[in-house]
Amino acid sequence: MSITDETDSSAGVEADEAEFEDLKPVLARPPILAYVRELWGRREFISTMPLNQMRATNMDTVLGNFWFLVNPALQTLVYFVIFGLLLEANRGIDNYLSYLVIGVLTFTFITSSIMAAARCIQANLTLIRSLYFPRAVIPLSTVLVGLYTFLPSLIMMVVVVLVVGPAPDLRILALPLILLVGVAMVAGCVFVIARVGKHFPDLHSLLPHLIRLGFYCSGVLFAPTSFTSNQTVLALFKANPFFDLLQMLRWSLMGRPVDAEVWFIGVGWAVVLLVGGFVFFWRDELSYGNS
Amino acid sequence: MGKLALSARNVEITYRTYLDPPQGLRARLKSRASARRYKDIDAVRNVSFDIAEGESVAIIGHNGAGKSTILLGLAGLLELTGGQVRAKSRPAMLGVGAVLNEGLSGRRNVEMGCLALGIPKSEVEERTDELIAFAGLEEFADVPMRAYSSGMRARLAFTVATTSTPDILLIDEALAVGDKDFHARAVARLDEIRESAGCFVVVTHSMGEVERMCDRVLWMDHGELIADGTPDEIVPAYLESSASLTNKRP
Repeated sequence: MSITDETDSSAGVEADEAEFEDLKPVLARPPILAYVRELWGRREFISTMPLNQMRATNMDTVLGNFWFLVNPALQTLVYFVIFGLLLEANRGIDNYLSYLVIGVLTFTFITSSIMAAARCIQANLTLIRSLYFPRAVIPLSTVLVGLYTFLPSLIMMVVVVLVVGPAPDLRILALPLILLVGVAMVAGCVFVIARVGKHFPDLHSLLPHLIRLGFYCSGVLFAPTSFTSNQTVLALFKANPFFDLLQMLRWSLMGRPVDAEVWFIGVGWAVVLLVGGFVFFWRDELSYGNS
Repeated sequence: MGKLALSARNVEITYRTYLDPPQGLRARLKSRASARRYKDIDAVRNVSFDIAEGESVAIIGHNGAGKSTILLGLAGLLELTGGQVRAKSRPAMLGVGAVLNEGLSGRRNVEMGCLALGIPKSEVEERTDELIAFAGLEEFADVPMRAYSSGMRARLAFTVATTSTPDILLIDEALAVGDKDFHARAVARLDEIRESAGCFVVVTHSMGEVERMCDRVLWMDHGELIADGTPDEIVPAYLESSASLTNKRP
């Protein structure tokens, strides 16, 4: 450290270096393990914040929080009218309505979490600038808002599968684990997008297009095998974590067969995205209050 | 001078803002200047000072002197461009209009603020009513904060920031808007903080507040610290400089 301007700048400095060194820097990024411990210490904040955010969203509406249930129901109804009643299309898939609803509702969870991630730091800037807390609370809370909103959709999916068929079997017990894999994937993406979105606001306009690309590459509306037998193309689909996630969900709820590699690739992605995304977000911890 | 509590050394904070109108894509390609048009604003330039336990410090200066910016730097809520800030513990920040979530009630904002500070939920639930009462907001506890007046916001923010007696409290003009009754309670709370070996730094334009509450004044101008002393020394000089500015007007 060098003092460049003794006369003016050090007017208020009286203490000696040793005393200064005894104090802690106010701006210091904790090591990653200490950071995880700090986050664990705020677990009550992390679990309360998404509920509060959701409360604020629907406070002025007539139906209030009931919307979280009505939304997926209406979405399902639209697909039922178009594909169940009007078109009776199945694109080579048995129980197409079940297939479709699982895909669409799950992808809505992914989309809404990722879109919210791009703005989450900016949207909470007053909070960030008022209090110190580990900033990873904010993306985590974004994921939880998405997850809580997704739970009624999950109920809708099970209802549709029970009505349309096929009747679920014991494989449905694996559903919580598969959801965990899905949440890990989404959380990893949210961490990355939160940091990039903070420094590159244009991302918010770019994202819908990336998401649409992801939508068609995840087999939401169709099974890629009914369109192509090109092994390279099919391998590309399998390399997409969200395609794997939907495959697993359909295996659990509908008993559709899944290739073994889908499990390995899917779980692998979940771990890599979660850990990598978290570290990527933590590295920029100090800058989130900047304008 | 007592034991050191908060110390800023050669602090520099520079903002980059992009200018309006922006440089068009065509102009950028023509001039081969790849960057957008921007201006770097040196909000804080090479500022150093030490604050001891038990001190009450005011930062004064004209608008745009860098007072609020250095406060964010002292709180560790903003990255420094240069220099270092050290403190005996993490300072608590009390900003003007610091609202956590506009759409939520005062009660939920208090709860959320306390949880964010790491206070256990059981304790938060126990103390919320007491805190709401301290802020004098019993009637408005369940009203969304977007309907609050600026004084009510300030009262709530002050309450949250001082929930767990902080060693160092940084206040950005937040007391100026509270009413007289609350002001008296706030000053009593600040005295408690000082007595338990704490200190506070307040950014203010009210010289009355400076003389009543503070025993030291830092005067900032154009991002630099230009004077440091007791209110008796600094306030008259500051008022004189303001007066000379006013007189310059045609």
